[in-house]
Formats: sequence, structure tokens, C-alpha cells
Amino acid sequence: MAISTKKIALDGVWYNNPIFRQVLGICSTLAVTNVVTNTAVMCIGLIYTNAVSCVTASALRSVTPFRLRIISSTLIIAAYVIVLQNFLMAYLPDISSQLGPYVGLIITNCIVLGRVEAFAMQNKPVPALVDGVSSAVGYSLVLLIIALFREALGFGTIAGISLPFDFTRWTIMVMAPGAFFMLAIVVWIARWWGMTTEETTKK
Amino acid sequence: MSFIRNIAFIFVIAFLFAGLTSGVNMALSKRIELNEQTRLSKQLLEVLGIPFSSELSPEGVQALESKYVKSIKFGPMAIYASFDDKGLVQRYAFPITGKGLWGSIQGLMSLDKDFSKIDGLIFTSHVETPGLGARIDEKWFRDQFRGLDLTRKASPERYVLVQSGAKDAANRVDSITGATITSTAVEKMLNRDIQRILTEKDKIRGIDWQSLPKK
Repeated sequence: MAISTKKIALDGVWYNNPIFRQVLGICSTLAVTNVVTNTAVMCIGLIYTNAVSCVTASALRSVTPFRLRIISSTLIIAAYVIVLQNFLMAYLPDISSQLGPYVGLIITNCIVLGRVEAFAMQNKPVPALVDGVSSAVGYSLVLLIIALFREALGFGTIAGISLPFDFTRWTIMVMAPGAFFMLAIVVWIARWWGMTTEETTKK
Repeated sequence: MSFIRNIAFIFVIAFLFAGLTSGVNMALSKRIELNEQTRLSKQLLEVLGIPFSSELSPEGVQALESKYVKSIKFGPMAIYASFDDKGLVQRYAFPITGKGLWGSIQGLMSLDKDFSKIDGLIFTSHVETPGLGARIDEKWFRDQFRGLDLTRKASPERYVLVQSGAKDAANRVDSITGATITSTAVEKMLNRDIQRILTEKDKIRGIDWQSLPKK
């Protein structure tokens, strides 16, 4: 049952997008999307963690006892996130202090454990890598879109650069409720857009 | 049999990945510690109004700090002082601390040598919400406190008022939109610590800095 690389990639980024299809990883989507810069670093962190965790879990899949797969996956993910955190603290101390606890929270990101459990455990390392990266990219795209709107409407800036015109800031956009509204709108648009594809694949 | 195999598997995998993380940690810990040390020293220099380039090397920061800054233990807290070329005190810096939304907020506040105004404010550690409460680190917010006159009060109980609006109130600074609890926390910790420092100001003035070794 070899699945083509292209299909895995498209599934991860769009058809099975972790945010608006699987509705996973919502916690960090709501928490880190009020400023674009922080969101971008978070996304890079997730792409790295997802990629290496999927490859490792896939490489170990034949020796991992079935009943111990969650505990060993969690251990692998945690180890890689700690490594990431150390590198950020050593080489990018400013960004590391801005992100605060959120890098550590990648450990509990449902997408990582979800992809490891659902895909990497049953597939060879290379497809697992493609799946890990594309899922994380799909997550990143949605997060960046939400962050772009939230920062622009809430702070009047994009990645810290002021917009050329002035308007009343939508303060609610930078607070938690703004994240819920934006997420719901993105899911709605994406599902409405993807509707035709879903119907044709059913036939 | 599978029981023993399972235990062996977990043992091996835990050993491998713990080895990986501790290896990386050992390799990078010196650098992380130096970063942290340099960050704190830079914040101390900044709050004391000693100019330096942001590109300054860690060694340069240490040299500058030992040239202009001395510190002393004063009861439970530390006091830092900066000196001019003649060895006279220019500013004092005090650690301040308070309860934020998610955890404790720590910072440094500097006062002029007469204890009459705030000369600088910086936060050294906090866990406020990124993008909201964490904006207390931004320069525009901290700079508002510079020059606030401590010989008068915002209200009978307060030296400093952190609140948007009420433009004519004395010693008022803008709070952060969407971070009411953090803004109030900053106001509380400042007022309490200013009060504490001002009651001790004669003792602090009497400190003999000359006899202290350089930091």
C-alpha cells in the first residue's frame, strides 16, 4: 500500500490539514497567533519537531512494543523539543525569551503525537518524513494567516512594521476571543472551499 | 517474556534520549549561562543609564560593569550604584519584585542620587502572556516611567498610576491594552517597593561605597 509522496504531501498541507480538517493543535493556534514573528518561530519549531519525531518513530516502529508506543513517542518528542529549546537559548536568546513557555509546549502539541501515532508508526522513514513536514507546513500556513489578520487588526502592524494607514485597533483581536473568531472563520472558508473536492472523491 | 522485553525497550530508549538531551545541554550550558549573565548585566547597565552598543561582546559588558557599577547586600536585597569618573554616586538601582498574571515579575528600577525621581525601569524575568502582558518589556512602556517625580504622589496611596485615560493625573503612565492584570501588577510592585526604598533612603545614602571592592 505505497502511497505516493505527492499525495502524502497534499494531504498534510490541504486535504487533511491538521487545523481545519483534523482540528488538532488548536491550543497553540489560539495561544501564539497574536504576533506574526512569534508565530513564525513557533511554526519552524513545530516543523523541526514533527519531522525528526516522525522519522525516529518510524525507524523504531518494528522494535517498539505495541503497548508502549505512546510512552516511547512522548519520550522521543520531549527529547527533541528539549534539544530545540537548548539551541534557541544558546544561539537565539532574544527569540527564546519572547516565546517563553510555548516552545516547551510543542511536546503536548496534538499534531506531533497524532502524526507519529497515525502515520509514522505504520510507514517507512521517508514517507514519514514527508508526512511530518507537510502536516507541520499545513499547520504553519493556517497559523500564519490567522496571525497576519490578528496582528494587523489588533496592533496595526505586520511582523512589527506599522501599516501605512491609521485606524481604530480591534483590541479583541489580540486577546483570546479574537483567536476563536479568526480560527472559526478560517475553518469555515477552508471547508466551504474544499467542499467540491470532498464530494468528487466520494463517487 | 514480553514483560521483560518491554522493560528493556523502555530502559534503552530512555537511556538513549536522556543521553541525547544531557549531551546537548552539557555542550551548550556554558554558552547559555554566559548569555544569561550578559543579558542581566546589559539590563543593569541600561537601567543605570550607562550607554553601550547592543553589539558589545560579553567581555566588554563585564568590563563596563566592573568599571562603573558596585553592588552591596542591604538586608535581604541587593543595591547597585553607578559612579561618575570622580567616584561619586550617580544613580541607584534596586531589584523589584511582584506577582504577575502567571507568575512572579522581577525587575530593576533606578532612582537618581537624591531619591527624587525614577531614572529607569527594566524587567529581568517574568512569565506574562507573550504579545500581551509580556509587552511590559517594550521600550515605550518602560520609558514612560523615566522622570516620574517621587516627591509627589498620584493619589494618597500611590506614587505611580498605571492606567490609560485620565490624562491630567500626576505620575500617570499608559497601561497595556489587553493586559490589565499585568499592568496593575506593575503598578502595585512599584508603589510598594518605592515606599520601601524611600523609608530606608537615609541609611542607603550613608553607605560607604569607597571601601567596597569593585564588582
